[in-house]
Amino acid sequence: MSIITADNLHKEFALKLKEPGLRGSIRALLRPRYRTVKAVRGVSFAVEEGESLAFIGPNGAGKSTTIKMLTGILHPSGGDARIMELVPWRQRRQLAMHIGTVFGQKSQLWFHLPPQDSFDLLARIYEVPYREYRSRLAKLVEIFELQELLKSPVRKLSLGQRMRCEIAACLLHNPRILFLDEPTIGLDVMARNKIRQLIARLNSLEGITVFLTSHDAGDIEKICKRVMVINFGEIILDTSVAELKRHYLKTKVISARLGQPIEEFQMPGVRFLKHREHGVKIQVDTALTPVEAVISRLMARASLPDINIADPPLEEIIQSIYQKPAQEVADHDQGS
Amino acid sequence: MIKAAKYLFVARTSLTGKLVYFWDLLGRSVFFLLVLLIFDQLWRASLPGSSIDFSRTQLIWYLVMTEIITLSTPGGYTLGVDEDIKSGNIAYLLNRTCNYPLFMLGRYWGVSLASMLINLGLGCCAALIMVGPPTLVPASLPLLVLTLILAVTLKFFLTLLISLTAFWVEESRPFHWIYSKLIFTVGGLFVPLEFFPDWLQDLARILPFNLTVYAPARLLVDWDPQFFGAVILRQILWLGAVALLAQYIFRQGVIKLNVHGG
Amino acid sequence: MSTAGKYLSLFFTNMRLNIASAMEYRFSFWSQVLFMILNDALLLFFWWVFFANFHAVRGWEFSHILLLYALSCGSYGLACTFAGNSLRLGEIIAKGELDFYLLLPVDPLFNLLTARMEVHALGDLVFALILAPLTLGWNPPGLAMFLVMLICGGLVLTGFWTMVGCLSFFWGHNQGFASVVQEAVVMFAMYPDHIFTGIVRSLLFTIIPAGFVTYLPVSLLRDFSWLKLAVLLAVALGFTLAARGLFALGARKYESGNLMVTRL
Repeated sequence: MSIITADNLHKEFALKLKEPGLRGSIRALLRPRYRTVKAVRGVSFAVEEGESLAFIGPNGAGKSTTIKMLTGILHPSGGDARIMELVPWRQRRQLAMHIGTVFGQKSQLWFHLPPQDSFDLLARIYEVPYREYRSRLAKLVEIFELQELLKSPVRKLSLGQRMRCEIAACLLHNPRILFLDEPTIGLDVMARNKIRQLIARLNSLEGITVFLTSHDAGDIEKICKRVMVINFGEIILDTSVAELKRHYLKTKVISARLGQPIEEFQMPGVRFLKHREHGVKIQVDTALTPVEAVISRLMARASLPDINIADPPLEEIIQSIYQKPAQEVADHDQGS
Repeated sequence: MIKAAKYLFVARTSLTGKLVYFWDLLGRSVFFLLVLLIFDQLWRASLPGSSIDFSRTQLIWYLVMTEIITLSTPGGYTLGVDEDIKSGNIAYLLNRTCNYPLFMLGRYWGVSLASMLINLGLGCCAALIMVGPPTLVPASLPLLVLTLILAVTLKFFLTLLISLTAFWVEESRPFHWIYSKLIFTVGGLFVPLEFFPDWLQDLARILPFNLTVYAPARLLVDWDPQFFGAVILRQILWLGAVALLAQYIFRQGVIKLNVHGG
Repeated sequence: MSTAGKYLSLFFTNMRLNIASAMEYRFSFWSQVLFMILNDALLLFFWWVFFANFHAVRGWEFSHILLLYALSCGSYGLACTFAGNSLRLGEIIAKGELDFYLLLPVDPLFNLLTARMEVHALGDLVFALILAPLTLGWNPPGLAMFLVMLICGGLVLTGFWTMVGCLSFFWGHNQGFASVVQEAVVMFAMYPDHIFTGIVRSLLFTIIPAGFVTYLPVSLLRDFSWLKLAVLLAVALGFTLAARGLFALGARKYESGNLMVTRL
């Protein structure tokens, strides 16, 4: 039995149209005009217990609407969803006991107080027995390294420290699913890595199912095994992260330092990204030309004091998926 | 001339910015009408048979004038000086080739003017319906406008003086409250100073607060050239004194900011 | 734990955190409270001046005004201290902050209202509690009745403000409008009801329910009757239930609705 299932979920919004300016405001008040926006159109998927899933898509693709339906904040216009066999929008409070939710852009901690106080409050709200709460908190403090942070007001914490506390706050009631909406937004590299490690650890050691949205390809790569891409309200790709890389990583990028200057050469699927006297950067479509062929061609013309072969960043892959129309991606997915 | 134009431009930008807050403006206006409504009912219930020298017409028009001044001008904290200081934003504003107090005066007028015109229209309509026109001396109108301008400017500098305490204290809001209550009491917001017991009336006339609301309103409902002369003289003197003091305190504040950092 | 026990515990925890938050800025806390007491006392200035000129008007004297102030400031103080978010509800809905409360396994309205305390309102409350024995005399049954009146008034205000805030669910948020309506009740509650006649008076016992915050309680404290008390208790309960009902209706629309809440 899957822990999360969504079956043909739909959500439509009526968007009130308002022309700019005072006159527009008055007109909108007297004779409102609406435009229907289909935010989510027929989303179906299933998530197994213990999975770590990245739910990604450009802004306005329907990510947060879907998350809001799954957590019970919004009713769908059509379709069905089950989380641990509960219907989120009908059994919201029951469901709340089993899920944790972190919104990167919103805080659930009391800004002027130490996190400890917010934890105490949440423990009461989630009806965690006192003894269980103490031991659970002690464990979270250890995992998240909160010892130093517990007693200082949230406003004095750095963003990264605060996010660690936010996630810990969501775990006090021992949820089985963790929804994270852009948990690393605005964090610096160090803090981001730390948060990623922690979430990955929760997933692998504690078996918590992780459902994450992010704009950061690094989050997806470091935390998730599965990736689901939503665009224009539809799921256009649902595959494993490894698979995603394998299928979409048809290109490699060769960067080489040159002993002598060379002429640009032509080979199928080979493109010079950068060409200087002392170095080149070449993109190779490995389906058309193997990497070795390009390298031997280079070596035949110049000595190579340094050479590096790299995958294009995941970011670029995702970008290219966003740009494709839905059908093409689906075809590709089936074809391969 | 160029300098004056600069502050006028600040005023104009603030004015158009303010038009965006249509509902906020409307909200204040409704509040204004409520106050007039309540007082109309109060004077109807209490004036007949009393020994008060003012008529209901005079008291309502008095209130129209005092409320136009207080409701149309930004309340102490909303002007944003306190926040500029506390957030350290002021350091950025200082870099502009602007005298900050004058920059704020421009903004103050800009924010106030639109509200004033709207409240003036509303207040006049409401008062005309409730009590009819006041007995005006037509020739006094330009002079009334002059004391009104001085009154609002004086009110600004008094507000600024209080906002500048934010350089030294953590929370300046309480001082703004006190100030607004001084306007309310010894400023004569609801009733003319003549209602006060003698000792309090004497005290209130010494203080500058009555020059911001009582004086222009009193002149509107009961024009008296001699009183006008006294008012204008005291307004100018107080304005000069308070403006200079504000500039001085502002400099001290900036020095403190530079020494201790933002 | 029983449901009542759970909510009581939630209430006290929220209050403890509210106080602790406010105490992070000690000077601000005390100055806000003290200045609000002073502020309320100064508002009486007008009536002091007024009665120096008019003496009694239609049976009202300065002492009645004191009682009126004790009730209006007290009810306002009570509502804003213990349900500090009731004035901000519309904004909370419009800014999408409601999501956070919906995600917790407790009643969202109760948690939301009590999750904030207006510090200055404590000053109003203290002012009312000082004023009450001064005007009613040291009279324990009278003071007890006064407290009952405060609670009723506080419930009426909270309920009314909450309903105004709930309009955001249906029409989108409009802070200007909400503030005017919310403030108007308090304003009317601070003037003796005898000066209002006709339509204005009937409005004050219906859509701007200032009558139940001060007029009826003042008359009850001056001249007790079981009927008035019963009416007042029923009205307080009615406003509480109506607010809950409207919020539930709005929340359902918010959850199931297809109308996007205007984000300002």
